Amino acid sequence: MRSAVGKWLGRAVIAAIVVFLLAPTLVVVLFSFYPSAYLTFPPHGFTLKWYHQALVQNDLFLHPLATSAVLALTSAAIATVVGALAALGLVRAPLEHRALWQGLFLAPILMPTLIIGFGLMLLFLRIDTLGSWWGLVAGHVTIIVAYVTQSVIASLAGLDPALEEAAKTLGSSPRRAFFRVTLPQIAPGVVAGALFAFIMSFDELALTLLLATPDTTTLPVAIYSYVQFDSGPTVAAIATILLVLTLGLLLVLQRVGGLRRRAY
Amino acid sequence: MAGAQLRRSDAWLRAAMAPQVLLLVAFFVVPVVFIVQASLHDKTGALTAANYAAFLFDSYDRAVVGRTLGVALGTTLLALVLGYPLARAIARGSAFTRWFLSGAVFFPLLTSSVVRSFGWLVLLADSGLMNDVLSFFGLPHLRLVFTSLGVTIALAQVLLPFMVLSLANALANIDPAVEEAAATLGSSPLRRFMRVTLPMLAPGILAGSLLVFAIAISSFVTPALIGGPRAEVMATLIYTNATQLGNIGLASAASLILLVITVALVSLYYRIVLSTPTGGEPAR
Repeated sequence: MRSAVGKWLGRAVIAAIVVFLLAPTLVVVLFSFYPSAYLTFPPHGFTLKWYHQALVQNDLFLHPLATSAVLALTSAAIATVVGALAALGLVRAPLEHRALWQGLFLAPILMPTLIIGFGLMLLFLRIDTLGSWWGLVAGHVTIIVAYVTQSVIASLAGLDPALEEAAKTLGSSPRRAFFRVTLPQIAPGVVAGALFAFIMSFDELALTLLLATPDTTTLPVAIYSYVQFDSGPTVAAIATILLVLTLGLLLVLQRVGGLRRRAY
Repeated sequence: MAGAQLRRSDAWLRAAMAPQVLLLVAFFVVPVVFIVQASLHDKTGALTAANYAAFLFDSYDRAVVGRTLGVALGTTLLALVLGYPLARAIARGSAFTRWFLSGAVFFPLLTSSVVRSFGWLVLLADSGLMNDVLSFFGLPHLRLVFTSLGVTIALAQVLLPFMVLSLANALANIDPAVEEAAATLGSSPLRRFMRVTLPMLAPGILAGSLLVFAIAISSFVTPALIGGPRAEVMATLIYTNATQLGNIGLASAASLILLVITVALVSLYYRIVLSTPTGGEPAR
């Protein structure tokens, strides 16, 4: 029924929107391999010198990269234990006001991290601990723990509690029943939640800007500060590295199967 | 015996929630209480409503509120216009189309916000790629960095998935046969869209718009890098006042205004999504 012209026009519109979605990221990757300090059109040439500059010549990004990795690992590890336990309690314990508890657990997802960071800044100012490492970890755990809770709630919801009961009836101790029957089944949910929490911590900027010191500068903060005065190809190289790291983790996450379940 | 064992495991399960409850009370609830308290005091510690009044009466702060709402509204409209053709292609396309377009839509959401904003800077800067391409074809320069329009464009890119998801869900629940029937009966494409598709799509449009608007008004990284001080919004005002200007009271009042708006919009969003069980099924 539709004319060929209309069909191709529709395709052109879709193609233009796809370019709009991908261009800002692809241009960073392109820029990082580009020989001159300005990205010009039409393009020419290829170099790796900006990677050399970003990683070897100056140490602007290496220390923040290490800080980010340690911070995200520490925060995600704590968030995984805390969040998985809470999800277990929320789904299995006989509770009054279950919706209220669930609301509290998931509320930080809905809040701008800038405001959580600002509130924490006020708290740490009051008790005179602003700029501490564990304060920064506490902030990161607070904003990522809900992702673990949510992921584990989802995997527990699809689980029959009768399985654990059956194990107990067959003579297994409650602890053994939990570790041998329930845990293996919710493990993908726990791993997916942990990876997602790690990525969210690794990528966090607003809260970190308010709570970090020059010693605890993370990679996003370092890039953010650097871009303020120089948006050259060195930062494109480090941004590309960050991009590859994040996308690599997301591929792992997709293999675990967490993303599909989270897609509402 | 079995009863006692059950009760013991119940107590254990309740205790399992304790760490997260304590964590959120200490690092989430208490900080919000501190923000409320700070918003109601001036620098000398006296009780005041001046921090809130500034957003009504101070011309600069009022302009920031206006710009924030304008950017969020513009982002929502742009996401709607760009999101509809994509959602349609995803809902009605082949398996490959669906796979490819979903990937393209979610890609920006999965890339770091700093990297994405930096990419927009490279594209939109006065000596950036877009202006290079424009002058290559003899077209005039466009000024988008440090403007609300630049922030709006960059925000629409990253918030598009939220809109597309809502619209695609709603579209999936519309039987294509209904639209075809209207076409067979002689209805024009525009009339068909206005009278048949749009009413059924309305809950999806509303849900997506609420979500995009709520995230847009509180976003920080994109306006900070692309808007800068010349296109200040609420989130960047909070940051500047909390750090460089040391006006904690004003930053607190701005935080609470944003918080209240966000919570109201998100609750409304959940009410719509939950009242339409399949995520945007048209109300009958």
